[in-house]
Amino acid sequence: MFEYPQTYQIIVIGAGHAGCEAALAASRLGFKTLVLTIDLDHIAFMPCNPSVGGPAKGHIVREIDALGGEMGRNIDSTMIQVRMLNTRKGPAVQALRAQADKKKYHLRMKEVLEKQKNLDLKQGLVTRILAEEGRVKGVETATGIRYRGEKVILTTGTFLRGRIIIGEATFDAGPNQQLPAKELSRSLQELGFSLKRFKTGTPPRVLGRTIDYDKTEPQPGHAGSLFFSFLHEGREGISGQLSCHLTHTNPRTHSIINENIERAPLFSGVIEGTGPRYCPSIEDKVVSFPRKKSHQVFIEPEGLTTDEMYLSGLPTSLPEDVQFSFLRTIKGMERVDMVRPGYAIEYDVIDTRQLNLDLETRLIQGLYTAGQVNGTSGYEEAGGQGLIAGINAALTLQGRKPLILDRAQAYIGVLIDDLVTKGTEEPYRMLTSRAEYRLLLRQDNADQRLSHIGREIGLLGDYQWELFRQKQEEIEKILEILGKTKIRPTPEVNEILQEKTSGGLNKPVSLKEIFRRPEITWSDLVDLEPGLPSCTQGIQTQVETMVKYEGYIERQQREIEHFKKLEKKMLPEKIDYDRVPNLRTEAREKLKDIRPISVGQAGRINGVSPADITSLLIYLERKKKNG
Amino acid sequence: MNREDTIAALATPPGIGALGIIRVSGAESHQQVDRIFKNPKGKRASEMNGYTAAYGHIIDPDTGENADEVIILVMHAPHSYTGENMVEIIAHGGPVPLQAIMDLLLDRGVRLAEQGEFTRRAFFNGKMDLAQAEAVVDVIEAKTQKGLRLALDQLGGSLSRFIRESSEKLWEVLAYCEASIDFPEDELDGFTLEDVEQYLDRVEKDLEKTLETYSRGRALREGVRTTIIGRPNVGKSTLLNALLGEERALVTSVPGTTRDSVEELINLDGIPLRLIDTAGLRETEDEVEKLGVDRTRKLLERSDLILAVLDSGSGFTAEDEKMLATIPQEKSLVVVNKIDLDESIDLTGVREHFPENEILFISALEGRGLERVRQAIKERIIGSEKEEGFWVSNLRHERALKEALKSVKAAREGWKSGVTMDLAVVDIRGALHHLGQITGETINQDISREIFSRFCIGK
Ligand SMILES: Nc1nc2c(ncn2[C@@H]2O[C@H](COP(=O)(O)OP(=O)(O)OP(=O)(O)O)[C@@H](O)[C@H]2O)c(=O)[nH]1
Ligand SMILES: [Mg+2]
Repeated sequence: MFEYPQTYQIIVIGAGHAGCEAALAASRLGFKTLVLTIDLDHIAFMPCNPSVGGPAKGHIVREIDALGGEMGRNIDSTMIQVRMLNTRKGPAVQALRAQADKKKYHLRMKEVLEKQKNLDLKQGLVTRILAEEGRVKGVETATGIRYRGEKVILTTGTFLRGRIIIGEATFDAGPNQQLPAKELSRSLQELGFSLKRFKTGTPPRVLGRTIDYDKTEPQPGHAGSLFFSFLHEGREGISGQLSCHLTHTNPRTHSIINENIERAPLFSGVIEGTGPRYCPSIEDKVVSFPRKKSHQVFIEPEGLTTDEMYLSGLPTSLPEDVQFSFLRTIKGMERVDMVRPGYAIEYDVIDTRQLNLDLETRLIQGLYTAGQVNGTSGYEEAGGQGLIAGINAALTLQGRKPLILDRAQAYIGVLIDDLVTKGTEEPYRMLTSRAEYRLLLRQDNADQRLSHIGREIGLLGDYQWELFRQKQEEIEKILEILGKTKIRPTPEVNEILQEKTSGGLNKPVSLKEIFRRPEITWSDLVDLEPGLPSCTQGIQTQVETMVKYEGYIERQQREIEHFKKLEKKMLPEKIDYDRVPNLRTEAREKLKDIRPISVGQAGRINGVSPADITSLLIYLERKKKNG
Repeated sequence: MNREDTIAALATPPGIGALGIIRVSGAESHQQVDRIFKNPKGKRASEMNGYTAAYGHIIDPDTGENADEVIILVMHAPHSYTGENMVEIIAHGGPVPLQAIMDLLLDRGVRLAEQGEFTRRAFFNGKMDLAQAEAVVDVIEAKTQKGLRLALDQLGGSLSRFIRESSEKLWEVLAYCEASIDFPEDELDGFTLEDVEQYLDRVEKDLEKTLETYSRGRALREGVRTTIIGRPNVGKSTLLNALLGEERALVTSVPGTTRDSVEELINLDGIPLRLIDTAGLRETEDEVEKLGVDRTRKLLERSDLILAVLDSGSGFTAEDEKMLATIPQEKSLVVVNKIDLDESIDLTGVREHFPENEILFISALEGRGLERVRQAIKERIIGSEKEEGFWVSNLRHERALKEALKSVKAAREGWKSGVTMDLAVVDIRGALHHLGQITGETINQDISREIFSRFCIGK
């Protein structure tokens, strides 16, 4: 074993979406950081859908951006189509989604890593994590190099004992047939970690020029200044957007699948891992919803320099010949050329109940885990965790308190709290319905929620911080103007209002009052009061939301105050649950296992009842009184 | 545990006057009582000194209706049971006016106290030592083990069906909204945007109807239905007469004397009790008697309370066993009669079905043990320190229903006036949360299951 001459402060295993954020945060905070990855040509690679964002996921990207992460900037500079989803369902759930140029996305991220000060990027297959007396020491690679490091962040995605399944054929492989990490699982088990087996899948890729687009419905992008990063707010929108296309499966497709169902690994017992419910394979959909005569298929371009198309809606692990046959039954794909078959992949994941809320493992000090290896799915969920792990590895080296976002602060907080407190039985995808305070965790206010944290940690640059401060000032100024400007009930005013099917006025009211009406938009306000200062779309949306939602927002704010009370009741790190009277046995075991940091977190553990919480509170109170 | 808000509950220490006291606790409790209390000299709770009392009336501020004549006792923090500002309203009427007073408070932002909440507040405000507080935990624990949910089955069949259906419809609306928010590009079959309003409309009407037919109102207006059952000749009619203090039902030593049920109204310390004597339970060939037995089974379903009578003289029989197996534990009291004859009845079979219930021993003929029977009936209805009676838990049901209705209304009105889905969902979730206190469902745990079981999601 060759001892590498340089000692690193932070070593990141893997350069996927979690690894990149972790490494950038660590090195940007001034620590000598090493990234080891199996293949340098697959940095920030998108082995599944070539897109970023969507409900909850897009919110996470904004949060990453407000904290000073890279994902938002990377997708902004490499997207080939962008859409704002849920525009009519309310500002809290509006979300951006962009189609990425997959190659460009990878290349830009690789360049950012290569140029980053304090960051070394190397190819290497890690086989072992070194630890002594419960403390991490470094890693070893398959080619005989030993790297020493004070902190290690594990972000190995779906590579741990990865196994690809296509019909009767199986390969030991990571996504896209890359080398799997076979030995690392054993090393983790030797360190005492318990692992689970998950499964996910991807659809076939086809050649664009063999598709008959006339038979499909185009799904064009949206115009306007639509960007993830707050840095790019107000810039002119991207031009030359590509279109996606929509087509459908039909009864013939389904009968081919049904005829071959006994050859489906999902049903023949070949696949053992637990798959996600929100992303079922087409064979699963056909079997579980037999009455549904057709399923949607979105054709998404994978980039500007390739003609490969991703078929969203058709993940499958059926044999390649079956894939070939059923594809050609689909409208517009009668003569389609499949260039890569869809596949299922099984992989090991860490049971996240072995982690603390800062993503450090409880078993090995200095070892953090983030991303798909933690049982999540999705690039955004991975990026969010990677950022937090990188930040926390750095903060502890600085002797500072780790960053733990709570459920009222960010989707990233909801995500990590769910993982650590409850664990997950299937690949975990973020959904807006998982957030209790959804009206406050909006994408438009991610900067308001998190910029000051990014700034304090030291990740948010001067420029972005200054932009943020200016924007806040402007918002306050406009809110003040709206409150002070009185509109009098003149015939002209009432005509404008009636045109909007909004009731006329009979006494003077403020612009703010008028803005509360659901049917009134910003441009109507400008009609009523041409003297309003102009401002960016982002500011308009935020002001509109703050005014229209005021009552609801205040309600959630009160709930949050209530929620925070128990979150602030900290449980001592060394608390001995055997000495807390009256706990039920199940609760006692769970508390010992998960070791929550606060009474609030304890209450969210499955199997801890309100009565157990009262017992805990009483115990804490008594300790306080007895000193 | 929200320590700021103001809570109220019936204080129900065992003994005389149990029905008379309502406790209000919390920073705003004085002001809350001010709104509904009228003193001839204009005294107000918020201006009175600690531990002083005032006489007056509780008046509905909206209608001017007089609910009851009362005395209020005012306490200031920290010198009170809970350590917070408190008012005790000592009412002079029976359950109906008390109910009216509770409604006046609860409709104006006071929250119905959770079980043990007064004591819990007392502990956290340093008014109580650990041993006392742990006793409270035991109580909460006992409740948790039975399931936090209030026993739905305790309600009449149609009532619980109504609640289940409303909750099911709301789940459907919520699953649809959440799915269309989180999966905006998926096809959601079997439900449309138009359905949302229609469903909310229906649920609102159903909940309104449910509240109207609510059994608590009936119980207090018409009397708590208390049915006496048991094998022929165990002394049911004798028990009825004894509780009544009059010879109303025919008593003979011939089994099967009572063929048709006999109903009598009695007043138990202010609680109206509708006492029903029935034909003895047994499988029978006699057609006339069979009719009576069938009717008895129906009666049981509609009863609020059941007195199951055993005969100490003839011992525990297979028929007794069968009877105990068919009646619900939470609304039954087991009475062993004729202890003047023989006290050695084997109670193993009783314990099997009623492990937690107190067994009452009486001699209906000699009038022994009857006071304890009256007490036990009262506790079942109003509750004791440890347990809630069905009246209180019904009060909780009703509160939950009212809150659910309020949320559904807000959701429907909002939806009609064009608020966006993310806002409407807040109220729909609110409604489900309140119904969940009856049905035991929790939203955050169950929502994904609902989405994925209803819709084919995922691309
Ligand atoms: N020794 C004794 N005899 C009792 C007692 N209670 C009732 N009896 C007698 O038991 C017999 C039956 O009493 P009822 O009250 O008619 O019994 P029942 O359960 O109403 O009977 P059916 O209406 O026939 O089903 C009568 O002779 C009563 O006097 C008691 O406490 N002690
Ligand atoms: Mg009789």
